[in-house]
Amino acid sequence: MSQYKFPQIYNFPPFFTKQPNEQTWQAQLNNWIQLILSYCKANKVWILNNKGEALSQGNIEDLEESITSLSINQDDGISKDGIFVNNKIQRRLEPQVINEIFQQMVKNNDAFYITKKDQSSVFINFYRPEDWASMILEWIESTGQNGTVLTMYEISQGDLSLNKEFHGIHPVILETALNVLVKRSRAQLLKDEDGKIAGVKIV
Amino acid sequence: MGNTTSSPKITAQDKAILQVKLQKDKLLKYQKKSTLLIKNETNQIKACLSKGDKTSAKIILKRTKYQENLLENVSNQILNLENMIQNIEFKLIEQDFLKGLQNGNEILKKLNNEMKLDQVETLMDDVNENIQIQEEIDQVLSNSIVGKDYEDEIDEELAMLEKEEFMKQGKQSEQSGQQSKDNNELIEKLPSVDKLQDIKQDEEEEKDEEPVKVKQKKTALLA
Repeated sequence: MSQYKFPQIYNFPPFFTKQPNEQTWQAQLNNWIQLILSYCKANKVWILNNKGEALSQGNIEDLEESITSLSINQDDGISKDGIFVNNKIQRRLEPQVINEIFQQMVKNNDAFYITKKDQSSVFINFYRPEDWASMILEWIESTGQNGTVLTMYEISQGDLSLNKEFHGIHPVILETALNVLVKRSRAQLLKDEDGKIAGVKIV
Repeated sequence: MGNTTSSPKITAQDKAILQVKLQKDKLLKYQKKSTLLIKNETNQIKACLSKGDKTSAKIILKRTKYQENLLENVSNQILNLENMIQNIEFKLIEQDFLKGLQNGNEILKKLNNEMKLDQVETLMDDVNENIQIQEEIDQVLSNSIVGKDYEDEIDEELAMLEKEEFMKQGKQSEQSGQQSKDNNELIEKLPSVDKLQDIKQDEEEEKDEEPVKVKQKKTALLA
């Protein structure tokens, strides 16, 4: 899937079983969260489902291709590269444990559910919305785009943001970042007729 | 969303630019989709040809050609929109520039009104007068500090010193004539002890005086 190097603990079989001792479990939980965050950052995974598959990954423009390739995996019922399955040591994490990890991540603001009802997948905040916001603001200022109207597409796909960390950012995550800027009174969102966010003016 | 008063305001121009930009984005997306489609279709054509299915290959090729045609149109349209956006943005900058110029002009006018020419002229005359007075005062001050009486005294003293020096020189020339006589007298005087003591005392007095002078000099320097 990528050049991401899993930490050593990933090849440690007990890591894939929920530890009965509460303290050990907390440490294990934290390790899992760190692993998920660093893995998603390295692969730019925006959405992770509870099978450990990246439902949305990399540059969002190539989304269609990645989804089709992933859906095949889903049909098989067995993920090839799911993060919660380690074929090398023949271990997999139980769905219930995964859900607990997700719950903790949502609590920590490391992730948020796609919808309130659907808790099978989460958006991963491998950067916090505040961090994304700072990156975007810095980019706006360094490229002299203060006060101009930008479309969401321009921020995530424009030529000017080509080498930026947020190039190809998922629109939903971009929205959370922009909302941070709105709260700081640094941005104003523009909506289209359907009430969807179409553009943003950042000062 | 953005209920706070300090948040950036959206103007009509912003909305217009956004509309244009959204159109551009749509075209860009369409461009991407078309290139993808063309890629897929060329692959299909190759697959058909390898099977020997020439007729379907031809049909697909027709579609591809049509797509390519559209794609070129789209590219041109994107270029147009980009130009449009650039023009609008530049016009906005020009507007700001004009506003800046206007503001500057108004300020200049106000400042010029505050400074009437007559006022400036009288002011300049005043300043000139004052400068002249200042110069006069300067002269008076520099004169009175080194008072004239004082200078006269200095001149007198200098003349006196010069006279004395002149006199001494005259005496010396006389003395040189008398020296032979004097020597004789000195020799006669030498044996007497009393007189020697007198001379010694004189010398000591001179010696005493000298250090005092040095000290005075030093204090002067220190001061």
